[in-house]
Amino acid sequence: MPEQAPPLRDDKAPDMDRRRFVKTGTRSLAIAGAGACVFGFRYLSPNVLYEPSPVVNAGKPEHYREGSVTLDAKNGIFIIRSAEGFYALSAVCPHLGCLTAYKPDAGEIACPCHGSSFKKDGSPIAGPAPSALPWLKMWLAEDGNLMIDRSAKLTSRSEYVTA
Amino acid sequence: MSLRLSVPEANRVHLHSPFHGLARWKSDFLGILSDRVLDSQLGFRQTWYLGALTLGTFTIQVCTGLLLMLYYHPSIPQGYADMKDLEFVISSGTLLRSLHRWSGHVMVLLVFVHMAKVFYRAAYRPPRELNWVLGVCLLALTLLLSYTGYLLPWDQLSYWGTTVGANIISSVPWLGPKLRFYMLGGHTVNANALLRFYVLHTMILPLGMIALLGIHLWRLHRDGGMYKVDEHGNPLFHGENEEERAKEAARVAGERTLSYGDLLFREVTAIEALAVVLFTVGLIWYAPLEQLANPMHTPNPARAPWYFTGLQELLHYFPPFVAGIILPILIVSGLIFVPFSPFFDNVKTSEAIAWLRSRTGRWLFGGSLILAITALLIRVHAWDALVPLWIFVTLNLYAAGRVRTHPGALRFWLLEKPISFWIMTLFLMEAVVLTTVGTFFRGPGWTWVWPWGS
Repeated sequence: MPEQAPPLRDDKAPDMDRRRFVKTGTRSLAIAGAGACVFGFRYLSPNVLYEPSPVVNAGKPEHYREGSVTLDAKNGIFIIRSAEGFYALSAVCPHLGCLTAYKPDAGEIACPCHGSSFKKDGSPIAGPAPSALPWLKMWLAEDGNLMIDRSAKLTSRSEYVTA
Repeated sequence: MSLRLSVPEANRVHLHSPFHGLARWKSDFLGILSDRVLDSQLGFRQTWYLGALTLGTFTIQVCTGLLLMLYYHPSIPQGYADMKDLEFVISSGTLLRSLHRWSGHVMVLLVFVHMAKVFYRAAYRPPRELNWVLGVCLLALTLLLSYTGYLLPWDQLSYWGTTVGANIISSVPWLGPKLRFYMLGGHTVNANALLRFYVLHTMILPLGMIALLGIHLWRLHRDGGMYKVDEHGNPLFHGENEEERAKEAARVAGERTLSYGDLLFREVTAIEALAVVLFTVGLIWYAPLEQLANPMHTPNPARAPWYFTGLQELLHYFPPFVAGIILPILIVSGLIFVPFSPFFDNVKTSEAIAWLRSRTGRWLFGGSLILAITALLIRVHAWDALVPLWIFVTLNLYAAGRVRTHPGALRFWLLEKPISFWIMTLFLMEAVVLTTVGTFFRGPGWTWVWPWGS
């Protein structure tokens, strides 16, 4: 074979090749990155949580005096027995999640973090809280225990449970 | 670099500091700091060595942090038990923990003061605008590092501080609860959250910090090193290109030009002095540790560390989405925006006043804007936030006063300032006042108390 000189190429041709290489490379990297982000994002969200059940057993109704406001701090709820019957309030401040406490002297529920206060029915009196303490779903189980579902918020504020 | 060539060899005076050899080696191989500084630029009052001191505290954080990691398990309640071990069982454990805590606080403070100093020297102006933006990112990283580190001891303050922070995130419309879930790895602040914060605090954020710091220092070198002004207050070595910079260099060549080894020597000495102070403080005052985190009891008041009490004060007045998300985003983008905005940065106060004066409507516009903000602050009873605003307004009116017969030196000085000066000053005044009130004047239920009262 006679020795053949390498073909002369247009000066721009290698540039174009490089540009195309960079373009294609960047695009494929972007697609791969987006795919990795989707899976990474799902990876960051745990599918199984070792958190306590939202359903709480509050015990027998006769343990609560009429007019009492009982804080179940472990579960972040108030069990309140009024003249009309039982109801459950979330004790977690709707402002920024601090645990509120009942002040018997003032007859109101107060948040220690940013100074919000609420009436016994959960409606806000003062402070930065954007909404009332929500009423939680409450029912009387067959075994006579009061049950509360912390994940179920009621829209009405008059669903009393009578025992 | 042409800049180096342009300085005649005869004008180079070497003081032979202990760092000189190191400096020359670095100059040839690393090129981090500037090649030359003028002896008039060497003194404390130029920069207060703030950048170097901040870097010093970060170095202390890395060293003490690595050592603390040898005994810390990011699990519940082991993490808290490890804090107790560090305090009572491990030799020098308390000192290390205290040093890490105080040095972290001082780092936040230094980053703020460094930023303010750079701003008031106008050292963020082109070509340094990228470095300013990097600095703002480093400020954000510093605050994130503080916040994530706050959870790790797993005491009462940690737990409730993180709970409040997570709920601020969840106040974002629509996306909020999802973001909060990703941040905590669950619905409550629990073991997953602790582990996530640990990884952020010890790996992701420090690595990001080191990367950005590297670019920050490299840019400093590229932009002509230490910010310099000549005798008329004009910036030196700020020419658009190498040629102009060489001319500038030649202009000051009559002044003694030092190797920056001399500067390095001073800055390292300053860092060492700070380290001695921090050690002493760490030996005298131990980093506090509250009781074990208790989800069943919120301490009253649940106060954030001092650099977040200004934010906490705002949270008392405004909805979390406004105080915790919108305002910080506005502040950070405002800080980033300043060097890129010809309007804010090139228009002098005197020119702005002249523009305002030319129409009554403009005066009314400015006046009603101030009155609207005042009315809003009064409506939410934010009296403390009103004070800086009205000091600001008073200064403005003083600068804009029509009487020209005896203009005071202060007034001339104010009239020369760009608009950005006023924005930054108002921001800093608000930050200082709100932080002071949140730290010293707030008691149980976030009600007003006097610090000297019982």
